[in-house]
Amino acid sequence: MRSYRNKTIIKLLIILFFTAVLMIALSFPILGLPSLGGILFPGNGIWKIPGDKNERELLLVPSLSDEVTIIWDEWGVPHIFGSKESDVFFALGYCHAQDRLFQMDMLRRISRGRLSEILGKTALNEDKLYLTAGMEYWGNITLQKALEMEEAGEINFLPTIESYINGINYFIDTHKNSKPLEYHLLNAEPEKFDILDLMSILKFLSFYYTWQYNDLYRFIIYESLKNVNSSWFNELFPKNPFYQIPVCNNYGAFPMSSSSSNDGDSKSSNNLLKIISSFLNNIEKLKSQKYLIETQESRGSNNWVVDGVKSDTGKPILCNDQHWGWILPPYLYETHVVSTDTGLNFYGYTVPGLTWPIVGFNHYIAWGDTIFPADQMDWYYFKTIDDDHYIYNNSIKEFTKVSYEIKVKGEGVVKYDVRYTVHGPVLNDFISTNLRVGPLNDSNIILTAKWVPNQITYEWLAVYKMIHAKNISEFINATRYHDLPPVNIVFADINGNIGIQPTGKVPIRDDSRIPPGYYGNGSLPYNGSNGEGEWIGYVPFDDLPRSLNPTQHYLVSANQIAVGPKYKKYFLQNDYAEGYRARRINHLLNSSEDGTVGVDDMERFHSDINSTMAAAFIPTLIDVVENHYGINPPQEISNVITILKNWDYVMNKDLAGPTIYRKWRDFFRDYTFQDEFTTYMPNFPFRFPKWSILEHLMKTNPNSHWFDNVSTISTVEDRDYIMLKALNRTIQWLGDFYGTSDPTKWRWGDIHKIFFPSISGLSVLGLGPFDGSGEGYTLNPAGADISNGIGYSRGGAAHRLIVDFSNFSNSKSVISGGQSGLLNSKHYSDQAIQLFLNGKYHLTYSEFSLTNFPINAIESITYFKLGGS
Amino acid sequence: MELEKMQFLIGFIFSLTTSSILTLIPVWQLIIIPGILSGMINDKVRNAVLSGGLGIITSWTIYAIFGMLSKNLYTILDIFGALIFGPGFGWILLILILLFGFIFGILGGAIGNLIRNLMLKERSQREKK
Repeated sequence: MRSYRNKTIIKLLIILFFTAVLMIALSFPILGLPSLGGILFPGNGIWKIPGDKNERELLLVPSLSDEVTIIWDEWGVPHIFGSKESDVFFALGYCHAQDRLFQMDMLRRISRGRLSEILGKTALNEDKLYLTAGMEYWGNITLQKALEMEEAGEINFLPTIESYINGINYFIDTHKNSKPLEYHLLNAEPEKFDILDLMSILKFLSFYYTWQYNDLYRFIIYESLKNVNSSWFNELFPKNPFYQIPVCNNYGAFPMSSSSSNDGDSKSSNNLLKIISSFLNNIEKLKSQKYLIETQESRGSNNWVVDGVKSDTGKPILCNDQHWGWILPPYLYETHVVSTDTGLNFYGYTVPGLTWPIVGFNHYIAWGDTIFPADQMDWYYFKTIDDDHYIYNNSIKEFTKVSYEIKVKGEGVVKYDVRYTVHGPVLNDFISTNLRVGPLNDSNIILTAKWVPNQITYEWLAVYKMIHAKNISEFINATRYHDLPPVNIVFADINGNIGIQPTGKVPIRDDSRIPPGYYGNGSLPYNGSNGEGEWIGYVPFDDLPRSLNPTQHYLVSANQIAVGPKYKKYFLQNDYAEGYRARRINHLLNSSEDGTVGVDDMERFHSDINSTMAAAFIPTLIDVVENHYGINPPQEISNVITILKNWDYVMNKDLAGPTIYRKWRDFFRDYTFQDEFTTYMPNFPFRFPKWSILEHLMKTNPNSHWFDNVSTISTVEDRDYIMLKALNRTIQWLGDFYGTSDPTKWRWGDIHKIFFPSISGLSVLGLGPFDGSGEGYTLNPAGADISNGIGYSRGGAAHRLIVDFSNFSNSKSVISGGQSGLLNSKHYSDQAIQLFLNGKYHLTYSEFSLTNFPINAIESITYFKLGGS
Repeated sequence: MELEKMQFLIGFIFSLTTSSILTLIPVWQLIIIPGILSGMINDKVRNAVLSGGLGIITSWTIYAIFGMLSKNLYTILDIFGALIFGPGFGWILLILILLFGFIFGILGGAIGNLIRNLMLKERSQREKK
């Protein structure tokens, strides 16, 4: 008997041992994934991930003052109806959290330097940068100002913002056991939001658009070239831009191939050159900053408006597509909010995490934004005495310090101090901690960035006023508070007015102390120790350019230069987009036979993939080939030229013309500039001059020294030589890449892809790749780097909006993804697949109320009623 | 019905019901319990492990079908499958999950049955005395 019992116990122990081993194995993270038992077994992890909404849902909320109803349409867009604005925005907060909780959390964490808390030490340098940029710090100071204003009765809407935050937190509280997949993968929990999150996110939006390193890149080019030839820098950065059609049409126009030089001289510091070069080399090691630098041109937007004369409806039509970069879920979230107490009836786009919509229409006024690339950031360098002191304005000054404790997942707390000068935070400290490879710290020179968002700003007030504006004067008055980010706001109203208003705080610099010939206006870094480049104010709102009801009956902005040469009041910008998109929209709006355009035309324009840049370059190439070879060029040249001659510059994915043009264009630029850059700027992260500079050189100066290869002493190359060399290299490269010398097989879509990455960074959660039409400079942009083979476009329109003032129910919209950030929702990528990629839209249903909303467009309804605890 | 078949059926129903209830509790380690209960009901080891394993796998299959129909669960499985095995392998992940359920049912059944045997022998020993 005892023997049987012992045997049984031994068997039991063996099985218990195996069970325990299996359980332990399934309880620990493996292959970078969380514990498989916790995430895979029914009742846990992925089985609890929220999906699509119930057809009818009733929520009892004690904090509401009245009932709210949300009608979700067939694209997952919430139409929120209520009698109190604070209740309506409570519901919007709930919608944002329900559909985009992880995205909002990431935005909040980036803005406040808290990524490491959930991502671990790989994100530590990102956190340090964002804390150094001061978005949380200045978000908090701006928040205190808003609270003061509320206290003093100057504003009365902070309770509505708080109500929005409460809506987010109500969702988090009531869905603790049902978190999105990303939280399971990161083994993290959603945390409640507060109003500082919102203020910090607002500052981060400006980081995305106005934080720049251009001044430093320019400095390296300036310093490197000035000893070779003092005029070369002027040729790359001319005072008057080429081929720009200004946003505001009432300040004159630039000749289409104008040129004029800046004065240039010198101020030299080899040491400074090394420091800045090292800084840039290091900063590009940060993933986020490399992305920021490389996608600068694609972070643009288009908007345009036509008045009743130009429109075939007799009323204005307004269009906008903002280019935020493609990501799933997209940054923007479509929203329709209706509140009877204030008469608010707004359809447009919100950024989850922010209360107020950013663009759209309120049935009195519609508007759309593009970035107005005003220079809101200057770089300064200072000499330091020791760790605590630096020289400012030729006297010794003490750094002020702000200390942070960064929680790092699995590592505890990391202490981090930010040193501040009178001109902003020191960036060297952040770089020197982990990334440094160069001589940065061996010097007593520090780099600081003075940035407009590092102060109290009022964009939150501006947008509140804009969405409530009922006439054009209220609207323009509201835009005066739009400090960040600087945008070109195109607008139209129900009375037929159209206009465009560049907004934002534009610094005025005192350049009296810069050395003779040095470039001012914040285009190059200032010597802070000498007191150079003090900001002595901001361009007054009333002195910013503006166009109202122009005689051309339309207005266009695509991040091009804001004003023409007749605007003399203030300096506004060092940087602006190449201008090819603006040229194309202007052309299209003037291309109809009867001079008018309609909603259908606008849809076509949004999807336009005709390359103005190709049209600018290719005819010259064809001329050069024909002049060089006469009527009998070599067969391989003849084949590609035949294709180019028959091509209409449409960057269609099925054509070979776009492939040849694009590859040739890149080689042409490389062969023109690379020799100078590698010879005079070795060890420098290479940034090419603008394409419009190359276009201008090609068209006006075929014997320019830029075409001569500086490393071939005995030969002088000219434009034609370089263009032909680029063409031969293109034929060879494409033949190798496609595995055929038949150029008709060089299909653009085979080398140019469109991909929508997931916010999680996991490629399996992304959408695509798809064969891509267009390029970075087409109206429908899809830029990709194809220098090493297949290129994946990472940026394009985040949404497309057409507002038809003759019939608001004919207004159309689409976003580049879907409303939901939940991977298993049918609205995760439905708009991208069914609409966006096919150039289609959905109706906004913005005309309908709770009682007459079309039944067939209703997918589900959520009722918020008073109750619960 | 024979006693053994009856025990198998009752064990299966116990396992199925308990594992279904346990999907409401986010502590996955409890999944050993249905098998143990089922094992304690069955005389024979084979019936004990099978009723435990089959009860869990049936319960989880129903749960999975419901999840796929109600909230597009297969998409999530497919994505997770892609993270582990590569694209298009959500079904392997599902089979793997069900297999794990079955294994825990078997182990639980065996544990339950051994405990039962120990308890019965102890009791019969006491009764003899």
